[in-house]
Amino acid sequence: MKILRWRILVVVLVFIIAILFLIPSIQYYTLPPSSLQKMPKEKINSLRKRALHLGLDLRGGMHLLLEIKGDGLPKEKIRDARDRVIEIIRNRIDAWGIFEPAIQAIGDARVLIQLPGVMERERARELIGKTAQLTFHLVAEPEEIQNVFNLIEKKLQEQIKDTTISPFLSCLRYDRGDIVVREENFDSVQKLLEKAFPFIPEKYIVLWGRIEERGGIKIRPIYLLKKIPELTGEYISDARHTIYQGQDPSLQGRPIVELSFDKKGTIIFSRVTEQNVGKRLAIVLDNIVQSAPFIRERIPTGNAMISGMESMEEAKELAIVLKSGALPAPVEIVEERSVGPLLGSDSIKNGIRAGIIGTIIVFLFMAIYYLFSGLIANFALLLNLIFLLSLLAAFKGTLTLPGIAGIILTVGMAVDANVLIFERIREEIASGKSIKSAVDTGYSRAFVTILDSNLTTIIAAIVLLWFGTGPIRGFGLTLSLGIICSFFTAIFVTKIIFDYMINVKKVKKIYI
Amino acid sequence: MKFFKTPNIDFLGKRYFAYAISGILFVSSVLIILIKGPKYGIDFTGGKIAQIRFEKDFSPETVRKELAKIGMGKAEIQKYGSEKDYLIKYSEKIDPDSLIKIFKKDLNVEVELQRTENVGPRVGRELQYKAIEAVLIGMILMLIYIAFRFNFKFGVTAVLALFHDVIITLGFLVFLNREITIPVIAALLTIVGYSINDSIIVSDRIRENLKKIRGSFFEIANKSINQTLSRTIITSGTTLVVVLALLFLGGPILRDFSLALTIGIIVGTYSSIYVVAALVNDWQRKR
Repeated sequence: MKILRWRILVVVLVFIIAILFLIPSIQYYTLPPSSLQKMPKEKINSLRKRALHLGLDLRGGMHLLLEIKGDGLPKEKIRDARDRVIEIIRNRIDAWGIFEPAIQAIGDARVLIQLPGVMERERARELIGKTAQLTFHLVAEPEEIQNVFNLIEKKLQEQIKDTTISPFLSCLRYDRGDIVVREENFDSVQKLLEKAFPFIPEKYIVLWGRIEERGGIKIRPIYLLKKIPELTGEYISDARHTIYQGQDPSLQGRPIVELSFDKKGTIIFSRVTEQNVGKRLAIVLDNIVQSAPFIRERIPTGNAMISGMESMEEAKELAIVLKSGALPAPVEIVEERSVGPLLGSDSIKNGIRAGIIGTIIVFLFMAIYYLFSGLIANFALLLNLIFLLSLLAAFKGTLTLPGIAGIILTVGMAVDANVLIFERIREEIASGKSIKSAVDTGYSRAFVTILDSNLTTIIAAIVLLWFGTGPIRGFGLTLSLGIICSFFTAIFVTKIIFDYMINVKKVKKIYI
Repeated sequence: MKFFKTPNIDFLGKRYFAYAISGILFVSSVLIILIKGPKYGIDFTGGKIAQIRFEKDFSPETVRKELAKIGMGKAEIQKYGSEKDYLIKYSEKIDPDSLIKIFKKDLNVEVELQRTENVGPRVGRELQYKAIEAVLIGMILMLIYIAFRFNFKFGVTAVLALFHDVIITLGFLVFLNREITIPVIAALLTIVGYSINDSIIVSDRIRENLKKIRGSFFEIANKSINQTLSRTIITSGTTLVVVLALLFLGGPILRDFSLALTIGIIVGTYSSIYVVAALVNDWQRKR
């Protein structure tokens, strides 16, 4: 009797704790959006943090897997670069204003980024994937350019052993002071440059400008720059996006990024501009020349500007990446998945619908087949679901669409424990035992079998939890938790109810 | 309520019939898998997916024609639930956003990009390894468990049955032209874990009865299967009910996964009733 009381107390306590863990979720997911908006931000955030965490496949958002391109670098170097990449990308994402991004290292050279609610995929890719290596190079003098380009032409002619045709120079045009290549010739010129690469004197580097439209024709400027940069993005103390309001009419009203250099940068910039008045200084971002303005006079203020952005958004993005700093190595997006918010809520709806219909059928079946005992099993199943969700919330597990499937599957599988017990009790009653001893032997005999029969499913679920990626881990998680919970609810809890009925209520017959 | 008053079905007597069915299913599954070959999803091959929803219905031909215009004639188009929803699988270097723009302009309709996936070829290969690794480790753990839990003959038979269940499920999926994706692999692994359960329950009962009752293995096995029959059918039944609910109501994303589970549960239940004990019986007699 005393023990029964203790057992009831345990169940009630566990139940109360479970409900406590679930309250934030219930609050958060049942509040109408209007009252959510009225709540102070910190309160919403704290509620959101304690509420059940939904996976990207349910709440919508973007999942990116980055790989650090550190060919030939030793492992430790790559790992260092990876950590630095994580730090920089976190800064960039924070500056962009994404709530609850998840950024984590995967192995030595990969970074997984999850951006809930983000659907601007292009923007996100740019923001995250951009190395943002900013350098300032002097453009070579016209006669130097002529010499080098002639040299390239000569070497290419030697290679094809034909001096009558002009492979390289014929593709180049002069346009408003720039040497440009038509977009349709870009690929072939690029290939020629690769071939000619060994002959380009070491102090120079050939870089492309941004693709532009001039007079209705798509072109790309081509630049010969001094290889060693005069200044790099390291010295940037601030970057802001704004609208150009200076004297150049061609830039009027265009989005730009204003840069401020730190103390050391200001000194270098001032010296470089002083010594090179009249020359062009190319602003190079990730090996693309953004612009190459003429230096008109010494700039002592430590301010520079980057033009050529298509939109204010792009300027904002560039300002963010410049301020957060350059990635220590280029990165490649090797996997990208995104789910729209509407599909996410559709998935939740479908999952809940399938869950409710499935559960109702199972409940009806249990009630019809096992009568009152079936109702006890149903009660246990209901408790199981509550405990399962509360465990998810308590341990910050993520609920995904396959996770919902795992919960639904739990409903079908968890009744197995009660089926085993009830079948056993029926047999014991049939063999002429009293109700009390039938129930006791039923439970004790069935226990081992239940353990046995569920263990393999748990093993499979744990393997999934271990090896699975993304949403599928959610399946392993809910399925294993569900079955583990069923040991408590389907065995411990239902036994209490039977004991109570038999020992306290002195029931002479149970409907089973 | 009871399904069977006192069931007394001669399961083992019908074993040759069961062997024939299993044999045919198994061999044809192996042939289908080998000849037709499984169709792998982009998780494993690498590639791109765009799931889109049109504002109104469009036939697959219209969608195909539109794609062909931009050089994506090779893209695979799949109706996804309704004539509004499509899944486009492709490998061209085109961003799904530009697809949407083209549809919007050419068909003059609102289009929503619901889901995109882009898996690089290297990641695809890694996911392949990972899936194989997961299935192998799952299998090995099951084997270890079986080795502890069963005697030798039952163990070997249970493993055979497990193999039988997984191959037939896979065969069905390949036959139905379903894609093998990560969720499908997860379903197969779940089946491995689940279908062994019924075999355990039956074999436990046989062992218990061998100690209690006198009689031939044949009789005792038959009796044990009958005794556990209602449990086997109820548990498989409730599991099947929820899996069918998932299959029909759970939405298109979970469809292949639920289908794999449905087939696996049916095959697994059948094999643990008709095949496992029967095989042990025949093995026993040969000695």
